[in-house]
Amino acid sequence: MATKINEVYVVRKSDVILSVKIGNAQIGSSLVKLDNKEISRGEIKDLIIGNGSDIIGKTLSIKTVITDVSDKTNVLTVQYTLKGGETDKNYDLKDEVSEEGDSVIFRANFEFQG
Amino acid sequence: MKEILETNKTVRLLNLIILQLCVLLPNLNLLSGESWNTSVDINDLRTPVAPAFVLLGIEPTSIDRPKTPKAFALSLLNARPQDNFLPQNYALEVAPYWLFSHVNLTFDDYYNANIIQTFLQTAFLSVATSKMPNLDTLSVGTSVGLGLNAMLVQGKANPNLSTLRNQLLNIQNSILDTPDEDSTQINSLMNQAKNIALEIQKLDKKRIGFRIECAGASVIDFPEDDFESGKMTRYGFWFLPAYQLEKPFFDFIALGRFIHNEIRDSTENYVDFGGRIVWELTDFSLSGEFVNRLIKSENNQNENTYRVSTNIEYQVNSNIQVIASFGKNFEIDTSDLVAFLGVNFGFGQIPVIKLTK
Repeated sequence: MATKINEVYVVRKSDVILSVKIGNAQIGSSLVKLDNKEISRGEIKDLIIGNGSDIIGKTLSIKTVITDVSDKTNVLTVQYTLKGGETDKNYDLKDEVSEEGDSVIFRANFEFQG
Repeated sequence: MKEILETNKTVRLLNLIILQLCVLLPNLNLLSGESWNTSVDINDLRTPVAPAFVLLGIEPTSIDRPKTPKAFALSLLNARPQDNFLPQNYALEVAPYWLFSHVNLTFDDYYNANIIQTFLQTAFLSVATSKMPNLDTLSVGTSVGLGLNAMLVQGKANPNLSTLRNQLLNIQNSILDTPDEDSTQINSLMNQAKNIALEIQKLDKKRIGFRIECAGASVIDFPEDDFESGKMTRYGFWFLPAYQLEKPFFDFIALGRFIHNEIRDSTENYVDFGGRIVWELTDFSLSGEFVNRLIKSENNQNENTYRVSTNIEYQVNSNIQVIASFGKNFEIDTSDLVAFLGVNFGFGQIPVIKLTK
């Protein structure tokens, strides 16, 4: 189970769109930065990062904290979805807490390439 | 390979711990069937959490509750057969849906589930085995109980949930803003998040509005531990529609229940209808219930009886609960007076005063 990924995302000339999905009925919040500049936070759904040609060479960093609010499972999952590039892609991260109510920080870095 | 070796090590370690406990605590006899309560109590006006245990008439002290497929498989593997037949002291509760991860199930989806999704999210499977009741000392036999309980409608989210959720999101945002190097601050914020998360967990059980719970279970007896002679001797169904008011915190519960019970050569069917009203304050609850029971025996003789009682429960602290009940039980019992004062220490109900007619 990983809590961090570093990936390359190949862009085209269309807009690149990010969504962050917190699974397993848990609650989480995300902080999204493009080249270290905050562009959004909280619940992220269909967030336009920018036109593919404008963001080539830039790095998208997402930090997500998820808290275990379910007594049914201790598994925390987050799915980062990038659309608008060469292909739409999902990136899944998962971890399990040992105690009810614990939190985990997940990190994802995407480098945009043409 | 490494994982298998690790699992074997864990199993050996668990066996060693269990052996040590048995040596150190011989009088508690935690793992033997003899320590289980073998009387069937189907009078409780609630959906049983584990209907297989209720119908089997046991209160197992050791229950496997696996939360992953691996733990589930391990639990089945560790159920030790007895005399080349099924174990007589095995108890398992499992929520099949939650054995697997659900990446697409958001918090909002969970609270706005349709009937099928609600059923999946709340379904609980219970399996248990015990010695067959009513056998003479020379006979052997095993009873196997299998049950399922679930909700079809779960009610709406408690109104306090959105406040707690916003508080949690604020704390999570503070965590996101805290530099990674400041572990003290992060730990402090995570502890605050934990307190709110536990409150959110509690609120999941305090939903308001309409809900429907159902359960079913059956027991198969295997006299002489022979598979060929296996026979279903007990089965039952529970159906409980209910409505929870927001203010005042009143819960109205209706009950429909059918139990088929074969004891040696006689057969009885119980058909129960009733209701319960619960008024709940922070640490105190007052409830009243009425259940009418129609007993239909094998020779087509019908008996009608009822149970009526009031119950008071007071939560002294998170571990101690004082309970008092008074009323009239079904007349088929040797005593039909319900009078009970007890203390629940969080690991079982211990009556401090018990009055019978």
